Amino acid sequence: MKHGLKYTVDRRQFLRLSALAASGSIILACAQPEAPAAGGDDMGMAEDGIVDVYVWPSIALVRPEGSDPDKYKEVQDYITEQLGIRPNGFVPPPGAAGRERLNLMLSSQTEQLDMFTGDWTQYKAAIMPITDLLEEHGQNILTAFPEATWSGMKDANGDIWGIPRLGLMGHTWNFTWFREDWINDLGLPFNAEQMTIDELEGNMAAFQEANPDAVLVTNNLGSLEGCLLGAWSQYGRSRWYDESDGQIKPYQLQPGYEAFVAKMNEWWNNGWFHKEVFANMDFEEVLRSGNMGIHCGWYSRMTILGQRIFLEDVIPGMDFVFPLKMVGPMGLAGTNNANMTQAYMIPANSPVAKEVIQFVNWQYDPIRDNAVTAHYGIQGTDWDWVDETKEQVHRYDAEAGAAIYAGELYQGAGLAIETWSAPEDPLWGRHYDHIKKYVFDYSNGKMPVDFDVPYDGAAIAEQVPSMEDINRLNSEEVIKFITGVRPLTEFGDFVDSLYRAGLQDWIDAYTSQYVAAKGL
Amino acid sequence: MTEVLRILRKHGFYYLLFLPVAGYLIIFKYVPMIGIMIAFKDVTPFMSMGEIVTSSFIGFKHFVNFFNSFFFWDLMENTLMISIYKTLWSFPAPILLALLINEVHNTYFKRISQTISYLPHFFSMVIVAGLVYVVFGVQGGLVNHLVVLTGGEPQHYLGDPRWFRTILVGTTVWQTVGWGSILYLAAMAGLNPETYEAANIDGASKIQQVRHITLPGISHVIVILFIFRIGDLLDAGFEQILLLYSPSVYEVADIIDTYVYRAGLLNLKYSFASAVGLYKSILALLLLLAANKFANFLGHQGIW
Repeated sequence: MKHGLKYTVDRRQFLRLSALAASGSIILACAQPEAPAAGGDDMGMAEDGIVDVYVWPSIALVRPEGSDPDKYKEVQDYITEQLGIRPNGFVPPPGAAGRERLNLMLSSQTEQLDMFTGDWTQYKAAIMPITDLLEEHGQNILTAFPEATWSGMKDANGDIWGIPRLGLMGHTWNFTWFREDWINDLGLPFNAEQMTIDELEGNMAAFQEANPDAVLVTNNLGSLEGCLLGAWSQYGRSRWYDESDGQIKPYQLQPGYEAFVAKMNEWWNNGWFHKEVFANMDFEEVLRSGNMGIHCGWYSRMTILGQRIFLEDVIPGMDFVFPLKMVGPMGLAGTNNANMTQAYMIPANSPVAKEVIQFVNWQYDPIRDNAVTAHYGIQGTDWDWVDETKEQVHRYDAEAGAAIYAGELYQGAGLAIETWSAPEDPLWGRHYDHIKKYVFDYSNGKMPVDFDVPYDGAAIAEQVPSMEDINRLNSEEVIKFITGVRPLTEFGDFVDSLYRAGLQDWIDAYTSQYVAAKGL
Repeated sequence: MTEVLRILRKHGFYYLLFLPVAGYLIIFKYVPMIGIMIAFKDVTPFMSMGEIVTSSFIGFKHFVNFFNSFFFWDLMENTLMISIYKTLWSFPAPILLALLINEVHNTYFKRISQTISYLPHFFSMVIVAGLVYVVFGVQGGLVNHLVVLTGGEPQHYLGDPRWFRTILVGTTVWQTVGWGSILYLAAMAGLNPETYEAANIDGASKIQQVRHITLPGISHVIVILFIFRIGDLLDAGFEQILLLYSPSVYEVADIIDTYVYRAGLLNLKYSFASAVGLYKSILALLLLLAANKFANFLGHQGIW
């Protein structure tokens, strides 16, 4: 027998080793993870002397799994060379998990993060004011937004806490989209400048007469209100100041709201609304069915989702058009959308706040090239301007087989940069054209009464512990009135129940801040 | 001390084997209990651990806010009703399925039917919700298709408070019945075949065998699982409801967990969410203790 090296492990030894390995792995798993390549010192500087900044993507990435690594590095190196600052992006998990990951990073503070988006009033305790930084390093950013939008970034002391992400938008939900091919086929009235609620009703009735399955669609109750409420009420979908008692009140308490609900109930009884419209309706599926006659809702449902279906020619000839203004007995039907506190923010513990502002300021350079680089990649390789006006971008990376840069470093999604240029392709072109034309055009909807009041959201949440109860009552009960589950004769009871749920706290909290801001 | 060392030396190997389990329990089950303090403080998002520990206690404010909620009793009722309905239907269903499978003698058929019944357990709730939409949707939904074929009007079942809980319970039974039957089948496999042979000789029918041999034989498993189920009574199926509900059905569908998700987590009110979580845990513990006591009272062993 040939003797070689032989070592046997008996059962007992094997189990001991296994137990040790298991214990060791638990201890190792609990060890504090090392911070990422933030570098060799506390100032976020890497060994090569270049400052690293870490930014959370501002939009859904072009490709959920992120860029091709070589392409990402190429873009990163280009920006580093231009700016002397090395930007680093993240590839967030899709959906709600992405927000969870972000919150975890912010709270655990084990990974460097220097910019992220959200409602700044909710994150105020964890972020830093950037007034001085913008003044010193962010002139491009400061000049990119109108003052009305900046007002949403400021607290009562006038300190700026973020860079606007959404702001006051004129382009989102104040348009009513009509089925263009049906209007043409049936010879119905359409005026691209202005139409009335009566004309809307006439067209919808005609649509349904021609096609019994024709429906009117919205995205949710808020969209419907944002699109139409102003036709029956003075302030539309906006908190309003009641002169009679000097209090700020929710729009549901405004004269005319009940009339709006009554009209919607009438439309529901006519069978105009899609049956699932206030539940989990599959918008795309309804659009693909070819039965959508009118859409009162979020713009990108048409400019992106719809446009893709129109380009596919799923229903030959199907397309939608909208009048700039819808008007009713109380004037403009739409209300401009005030998302005033959505912002790009810098965490309070960021060691490279100055460099982050410099990096974002670089993207806001009015020559426009930098923003598109951060969004689409290298000029000449991944994209190029269509002409000298720099209003249209031709993307090469959209061509089959090209390496993809997914936009991890782009910190410009929002109002300003998106109005500069649009991709040349017919899908995204329609979307960005829409934003460019209407984002700052507030003339087509009613202006929210208190859009420029810097409410302290955290203080309001503290003063109104029943906020969710009020929100639930407003959505649940109003939908019941519209769908006829609850008779409108009980509208007064609904208002009473709002007060029982704590509406007076809500009114007091908003009123005190409104009065202080307006100096009343 | 010497005694402890002697025991450690004697059974050291077993203690070593237990070490990872103890580590797991301590790290993942006991250490997080420190987080209970969040329910008694005003913790703002992104406070460091040190700040959380040193921040002042504010008493029962978040508990009081929850109890004072306009919908508190609605939430309790919905949570309990949905959970009780689910228990009534989905607890006996696996026992029944296991009894049926146990009587199947064709191995091929038995395995196929078992595999088919286990399959839904592996679907994520998102997939299940998608299937529910496909089956109950107004536009092209299977059920509505049949309704229209038989001359009826399409109904929005998922937005109808009269149907919503039925759909929830039905979906739960479908998803859990197969997987839940495994334990009962295992328990049945342990029963002495000679008992059945003796019953056969005595002329007992299949139903009588089930009633007098099988069910008493697996009763300890049934009791233990029932006690666990009672302990979970306040978990009415957060994910499932979140994916399927809408404001139209809040009155029958909004449970404690969905409310906390909207009021607490979406608005970053972690202290409020922790307070409600603690309230739920205490109630669950009380229910579990009561169920165990009741089992003991009926002469069963219970879980301890």
